[in-house]
Amino acid sequence: MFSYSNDDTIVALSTPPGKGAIAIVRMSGSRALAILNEIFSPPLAEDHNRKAVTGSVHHRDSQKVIDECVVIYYQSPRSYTGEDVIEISCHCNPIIIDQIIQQTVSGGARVAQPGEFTKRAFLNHKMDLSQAEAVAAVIAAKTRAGLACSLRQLDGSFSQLITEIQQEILNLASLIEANLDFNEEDLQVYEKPEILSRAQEVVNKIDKLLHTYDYGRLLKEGVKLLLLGKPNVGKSSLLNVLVEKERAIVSELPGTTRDYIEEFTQIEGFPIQIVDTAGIRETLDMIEEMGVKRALKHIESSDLILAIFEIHRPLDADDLHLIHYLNRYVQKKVPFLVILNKSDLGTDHHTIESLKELRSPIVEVSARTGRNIELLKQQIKNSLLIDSGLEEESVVVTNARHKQALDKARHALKNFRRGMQSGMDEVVLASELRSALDYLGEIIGEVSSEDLLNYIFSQFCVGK
Amino acid sequence: MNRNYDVIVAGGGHAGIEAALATARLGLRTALVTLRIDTIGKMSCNPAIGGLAKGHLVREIDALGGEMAKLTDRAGIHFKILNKSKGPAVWSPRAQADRLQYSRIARQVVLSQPNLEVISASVNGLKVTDGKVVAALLNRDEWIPCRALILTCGTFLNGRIYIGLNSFSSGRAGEMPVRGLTEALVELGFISGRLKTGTPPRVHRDSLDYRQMEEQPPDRPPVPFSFQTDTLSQEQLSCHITHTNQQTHEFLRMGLDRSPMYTGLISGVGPRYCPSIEDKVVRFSDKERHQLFLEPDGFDNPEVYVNGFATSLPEDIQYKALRSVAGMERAHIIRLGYAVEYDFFPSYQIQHTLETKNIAGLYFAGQINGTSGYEEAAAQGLMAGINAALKLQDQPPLILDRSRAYIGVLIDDLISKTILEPYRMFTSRAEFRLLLRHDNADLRLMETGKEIRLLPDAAYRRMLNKRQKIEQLLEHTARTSISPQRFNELAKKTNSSFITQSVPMRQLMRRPEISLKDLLEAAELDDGYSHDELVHVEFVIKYEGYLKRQAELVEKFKKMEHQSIPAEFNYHTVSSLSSEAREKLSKIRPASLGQASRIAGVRHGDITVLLIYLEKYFRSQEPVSRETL
Ligand SMILES: Nc1nc2c(ncn2[C@@H]2O[C@H](COP(=O)(O)OP(=O)(O)OP(=O)(O)O)[C@@H](O)[C@H]2O)c(=O)[nH]1
Ligand SMILES: [Mg+2]
Repeated sequence: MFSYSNDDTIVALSTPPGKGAIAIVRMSGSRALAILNEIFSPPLAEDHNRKAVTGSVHHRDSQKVIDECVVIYYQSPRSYTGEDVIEISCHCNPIIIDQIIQQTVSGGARVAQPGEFTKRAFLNHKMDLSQAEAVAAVIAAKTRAGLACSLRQLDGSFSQLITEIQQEILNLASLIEANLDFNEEDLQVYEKPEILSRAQEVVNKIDKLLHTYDYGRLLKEGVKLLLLGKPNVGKSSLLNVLVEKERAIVSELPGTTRDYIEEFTQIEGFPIQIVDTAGIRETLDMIEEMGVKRALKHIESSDLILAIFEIHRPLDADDLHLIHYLNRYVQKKVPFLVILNKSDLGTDHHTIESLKELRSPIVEVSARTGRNIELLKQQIKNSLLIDSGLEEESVVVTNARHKQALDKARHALKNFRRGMQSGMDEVVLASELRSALDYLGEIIGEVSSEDLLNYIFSQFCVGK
Repeated sequence: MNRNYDVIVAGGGHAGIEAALATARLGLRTALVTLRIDTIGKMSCNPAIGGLAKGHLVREIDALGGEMAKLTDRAGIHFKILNKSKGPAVWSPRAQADRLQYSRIARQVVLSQPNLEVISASVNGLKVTDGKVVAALLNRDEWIPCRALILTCGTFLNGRIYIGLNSFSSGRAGEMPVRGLTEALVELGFISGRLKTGTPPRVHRDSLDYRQMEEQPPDRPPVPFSFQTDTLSQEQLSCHITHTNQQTHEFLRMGLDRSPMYTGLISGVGPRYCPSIEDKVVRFSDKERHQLFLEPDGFDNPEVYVNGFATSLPEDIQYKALRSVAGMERAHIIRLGYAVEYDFFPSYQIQHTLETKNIAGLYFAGQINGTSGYEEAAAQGLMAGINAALKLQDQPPLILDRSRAYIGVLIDDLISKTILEPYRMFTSRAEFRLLLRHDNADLRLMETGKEIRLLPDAAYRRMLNKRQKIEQLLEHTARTSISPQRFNELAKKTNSSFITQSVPMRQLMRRPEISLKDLLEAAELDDGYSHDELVHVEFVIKYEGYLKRQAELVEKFKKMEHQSIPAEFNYHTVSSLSSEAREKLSKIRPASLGQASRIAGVRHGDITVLLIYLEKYFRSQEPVSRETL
């Protein structure tokens, strides 16, 4: 059963993705304020109505800060939807946006259906009657586009996979239901261990799909690639060759780049945001230190790091300092590549040997001559794929609503397995499978009790 | 005879009986028109009532004040609760009845009912004035005025029986069909369709060797169907189980070239859940045997119904195949199996009250709506009768929603779904299955039965008493603790873990291995609770979490059901609907947004669009805007 209910709190990005410097995540519903207060400090109260509050959005559990944001609370009924509305203005970074949405979801919000804010606005008398048709048309268009989009996603292999999963659950459900509805006949009763392992296989399939979510998001919303290295190692030069234009100032003076520089490009089909940072070194002047701190902040939110060294001479104190950073802040958190730049100037084998200890792939390049830059691009792509545990042709989940549906279906299947193991009533088990089917139905269309019966009739010789 | 009736019921089958008794009991002058008085309440298929999901329907009929359960209790010769090894939600009562007794008792009840007259005739037409039924045509020559007409014609509408390549017009074995009524309805604008169903041969009990079969004894003591029956006194008989074999299948296959189904003689669609034996053999050719369930017809009648052997193959094949079955080597067939094809009216043409959408005062109930089964028919008959009476008495209609009763599921399904085969109830059709148990039908529906004045007071008081005792027991288990001395003995027996200090009974009940009955015994608490009461309380405690979740779903469901769609709503003006949705919605004309969402082909986006247009519609109907929100 679909939920058409207007009681729950919904959330979605309300600005077009990838455009502008600021993005707005919007929540609407009676629990909006409560959900916000679990992930935002300072907490907002009723009297903050319509006042912009600056603060930080953090993870519910770890309290780790996601972004500095401006939040505005519009109290019902004076809001766009007529309900309590929270608008979170954050930096327009796909990763930040996604994390904020995920945090509201774990707080109980539901990812909005296409056009749902508008629908609520209309139903709550926030729109003129004459707008009804326009509103309906927009919603119809959005739902259809959304559906078409999810059906089209990666040549339909996504919907095909979901259909397969749905079929397998239908299959399991039909065994249970047949046992409930037709057991007066001598049907072959199913084997518990077999059902359990089949259910587990479905869970595994869903897990695999869910695992692609991060990767799917990377594909859709972009990868953040961070350049780290001591001053003058050639970070800005590398940025320029990767984006194929003179974006960053390059000079022979160490410490040229004082703050970070962002640039967008495409590498092997991935939309990539490259961030060039101020050089990291042991002794710093004040201004530089500011830049370094920001560089460290970027580490946690990046998807891949290029740690750059000079290949033609021994490692110095600054290099060791970076290695220390890598070991302390990067290892096991963010994947990184070791880049040996300036290969046109010669090779210090000792340097290479020492860097092997970082246990990351090493690429020798020259930003000046362009040597091995193509290889580097390949290596960047491979790292992103490997990190997501995917083959190149894998089906991926990119849509937050789909992720939520898969999460719930998975949960229901887990309940089903646990219930069956503990000898739970089949009626309850059947209803867990039903809800798993319903959740997947939100992605590719519902399975009705009629479909279930059809399946039973095609599989079993029922009827006296 | 003063032939002036409020209600005419056409058909004396299981739907007709309930309909006629209901309207008569609700104070309306009623005529039951049936071809032959001696076939009132005839069990034309197997001599059994109830079974999985159908048993639920019968209990609900009983709770509303219908007759079927009481008739079954009086004529029953074999009572059994099915699915006993599963959860209580799907336990289902089933009973074999003495076919002749059942029919005789039904006839007695009908004939002795005040306000009810039985006319031996057939209804062949109807007169409609200003969109309202005003009279029924009897025997093609006499118009009898009425204010409501309930059609419950079973398989009689242009019925045609098939045995092998022979076919003849017949309503049911040995009886005339009804002609002209379908045509009259089609002339009035109704769309008709054709369905098929089949029956197995009936054999003489003395020609069977039961020693070669497996005996299936009834439950002892038998549990009555009706909430109003205390004990069952009639002697109980066993059923028997045997199986077909490869030889049987061989014989059946040899007859396929003379099968009306396989040669394309029959165009109607048969039920897949009740396939003919030849169908089973063809479609599941790898199955080595099929179960046959032999149901005795009763004490006086020597017929035995060979359930599982429905066939329309020719006589010689029926004999050969049947006689190859263990214990049936010398079987004597009293009546051959046959297939019957009949007219029905796809039920999107009726409303939830079972009144047709186009003609006021005209009601359809039973097989005419595409259902199969006595219980489905009776449930519809009862609801049609109740609603006809309520309407004539200017009362609001009685519509049971899907969260309240299987009857609600049945009628809503009929109206919202496209019927391609005879519709039978299954528990899986009920999304709120946990809430709709057979043992709580009284708690769910008797309040309503009393409100509409159909349920006897005594039955209602009984329910109140039961409810009170349930509440008492629930409170009791929450309040009372049990000591380790008393409990640990039980724990040992049931492999449960010991307790070291007194623990509330409610808490121990959560353990799957601990039953309420055992616990009460261990606590030496005065018993005195009925089986149903114990079942109920145990269920409520053990399923607490799930029941809560269902209750939440019911809330959501009800919101959608309450979003009503006006009958005159024009879907063609809603351009944003998908064309499939627009077509289906215009045809079915759902009463609520909830019903709309259950129509195949209506998508989530369509419902949202509809919601917006409905809002627009309602707001433009309101003189004062509701701006004050
Ligand atoms: N020979 C050679 N020189 C290079 C190469 N890459 C960069 N350089 C030179 O190294 C110097 C520093 O380059 P930048 O790109 O500014 O270095 P950076 O790491 O951004 O330095 P800061 O911004 O000061 O931290 C410049 O003179 C570049 O021309 C290379 O591959 N080969
Ligand atoms: Mg630089």
